[in-house]
Amino acid sequence: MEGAADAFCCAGCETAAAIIRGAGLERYYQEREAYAPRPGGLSASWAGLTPDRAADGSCELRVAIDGLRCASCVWVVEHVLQATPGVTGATVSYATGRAWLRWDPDRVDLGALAARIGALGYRPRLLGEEARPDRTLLLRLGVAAFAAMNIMLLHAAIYAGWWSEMDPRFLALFRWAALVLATPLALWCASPFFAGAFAALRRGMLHMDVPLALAVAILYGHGVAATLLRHETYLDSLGMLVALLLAGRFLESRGRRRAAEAAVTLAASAPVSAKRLTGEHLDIVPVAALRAGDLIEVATGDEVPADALVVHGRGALRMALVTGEAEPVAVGPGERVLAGTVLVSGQLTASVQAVGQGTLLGRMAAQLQAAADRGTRPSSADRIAPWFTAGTLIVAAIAFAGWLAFAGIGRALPVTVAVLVVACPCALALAQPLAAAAGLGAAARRGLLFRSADALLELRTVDTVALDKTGTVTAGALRVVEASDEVLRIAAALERHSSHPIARAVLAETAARGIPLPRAQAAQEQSGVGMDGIVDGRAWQLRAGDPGVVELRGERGVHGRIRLSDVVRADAPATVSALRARGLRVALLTGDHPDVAAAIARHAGIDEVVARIDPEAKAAWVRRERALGRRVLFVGDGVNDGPALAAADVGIAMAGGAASTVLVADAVVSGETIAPLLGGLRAAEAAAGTIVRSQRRSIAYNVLAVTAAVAGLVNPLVAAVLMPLSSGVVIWGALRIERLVREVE
Amino acid sequence: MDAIVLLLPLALLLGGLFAVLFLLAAARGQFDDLDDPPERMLHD
Repeated sequence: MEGAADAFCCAGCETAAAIIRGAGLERYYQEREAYAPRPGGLSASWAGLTPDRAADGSCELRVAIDGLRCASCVWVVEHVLQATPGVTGATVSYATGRAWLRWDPDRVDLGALAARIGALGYRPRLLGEEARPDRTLLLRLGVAAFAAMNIMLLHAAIYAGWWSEMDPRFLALFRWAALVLATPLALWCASPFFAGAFAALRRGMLHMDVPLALAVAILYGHGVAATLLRHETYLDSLGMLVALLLAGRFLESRGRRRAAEAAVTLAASAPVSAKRLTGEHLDIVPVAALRAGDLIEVATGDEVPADALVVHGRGALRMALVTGEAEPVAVGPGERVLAGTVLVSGQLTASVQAVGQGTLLGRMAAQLQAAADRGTRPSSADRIAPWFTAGTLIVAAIAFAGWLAFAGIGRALPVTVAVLVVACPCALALAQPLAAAAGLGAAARRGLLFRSADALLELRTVDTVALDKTGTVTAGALRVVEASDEVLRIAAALERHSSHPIARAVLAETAARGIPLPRAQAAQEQSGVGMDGIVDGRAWQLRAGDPGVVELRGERGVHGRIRLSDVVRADAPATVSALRARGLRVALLTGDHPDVAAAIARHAGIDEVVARIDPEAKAAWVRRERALGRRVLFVGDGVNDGPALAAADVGIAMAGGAASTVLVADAVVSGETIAPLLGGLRAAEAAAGTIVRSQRRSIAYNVLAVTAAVAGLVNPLVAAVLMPLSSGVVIWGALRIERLVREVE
Repeated sequence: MDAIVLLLPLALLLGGLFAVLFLLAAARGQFDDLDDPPERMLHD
């Protein structure tokens, strides 16, 4: 920008440059690492939106911003917003792709802020509800770590006193100090375990929290009694136990929150407003204000706000969200348009038939949401918990009875306590959350974001992979597959003035071939029909020919043809063959024509094709396979894939898909590729393998330690060494997951 | 050795002070976002 002659491709770029210079932010051009996208108009209006006001009259909002490609993008958006009069606070996060805004609604409105972001070439979108970070868990962890380390220090002194004589006064002081530290640890830090245990018991279940809460209660109760009676305590083991478990829980919740946040960002939507026509008057209203029978206007680039009947006007609608097919459909008077579809060319006036939940899109989204509430499955550790608890109590009772009979109560009590202490399933409880958190992280680094650890582990058991065609195996956008340079040159000159997907495909191909673009005169878009215009002094027309073909007609009839099609993603063939090499069965499910489906399947290397089926039939196919005992993974992107995603054992959505689909899926592929499926599978395998190994090791530890305790060989020092040792093995296992995944790659 | 009677509570008090400082910082959201502030610093 600096020093170069300022030439702009369009008014949008000029506006963006003027905003940047006006805000004194030319430095952006010295610092940027990647080119920002070209400015485009916002597809929906933000003007009708009024967030809640704070006490001082200012508004706050968090929005997702698309198109942030480098740190400089963040810098320029943030500074442009901060330099806008009326904005009192603005921060943009590169890591999460979100902006936080605070502004004075009397001086500037949200619409103007959104337009400013849009004019820079980035796209702001609204976020739904999202969980705030759980600070209490961090606070509990902090207190537990502080208390545990100090208790250990005190106990180190106590153990040292076993060998060098210790003044009983000091011994008592150390024990009391340890008890003081252990009190908040047991009563406040460990309270999530008690809460979990009570909740489980009330439902008549035994899960992992029950033996943990039991262990904490025994350790602390014994600690109080032993301190009063001047006996040895296990308070150092208690501190270690609580601190380690909280650390495991903290890591797990952070990993899960990251994944959920990413999914919410992907599912964020532009606010939808409608242009309502009242007589001659056109006003912008939120979609919620629309009623059946209202007249609405839809312009090029707008999302249709409600199910409606076209009154007049023509245009082409992109139905990808609803039907999953990429090619726009022409609509005219008397035809029905659906909410959520996008008008890619033309202008429509339509009469509203259904709004919000009543629309087809709304009904599908509601069905999906209902199907998604499947409830959480108990983890494998939770399944072991009842046996574990029962086993521990029985062994402790036997040990107590045995020692009571042969050595009296003075020996029986410490042995019983030792049994209960070393039987605490600390390592067992840590195995699942730590390995799951590491597995989620490994999958996320490979582009697959899971919403829960359950789904990650479930992925390993899958034996059948069903892929949707459009938007999953293919890129979901048209591309030119056959055309001569000359035809393309003229077509591109005409298509420059259109935002139709065909125009985008033609322009992209022209740019890729490096063909210089001539200027077209009197170029005009015939909505839903094609383009007219004059290039090189001759009149031309672009019209739809056979399916997938655009004809360029000159004065003497058809001059040439451009063949377009949705092409297979570049990484799809390799991914499919890798999936098959793992012994998985791969099938292609599509609503498209069998010939098209077969061609795509051949290209991607898939033999099994189920073509021309509707969304319900996709779900039925998945259910039938599951009834045959197969474990099905379904990958899709549109709302039409929703029922199948919900019916499958694991449902994975593509990032470009519909918001409601992203929200019901177990995981989301974050980029425009399909290869992350493989990364996810490997991460799932590594995590699940590690969990099984860690659980085996920790159970082996528990059996050995309990045997030693029953034999009367365990004292507080032995317990304090054994417990962290077993947990350390589990932590080491979780840390190795990333390496395991890399080895396979 | 008798110094321990004084030093032990003192050490715990000092440690406790830092624990309280950590709690205050965490409660005010200092640890909510650990990714962005380091990047932001490079641009100001």
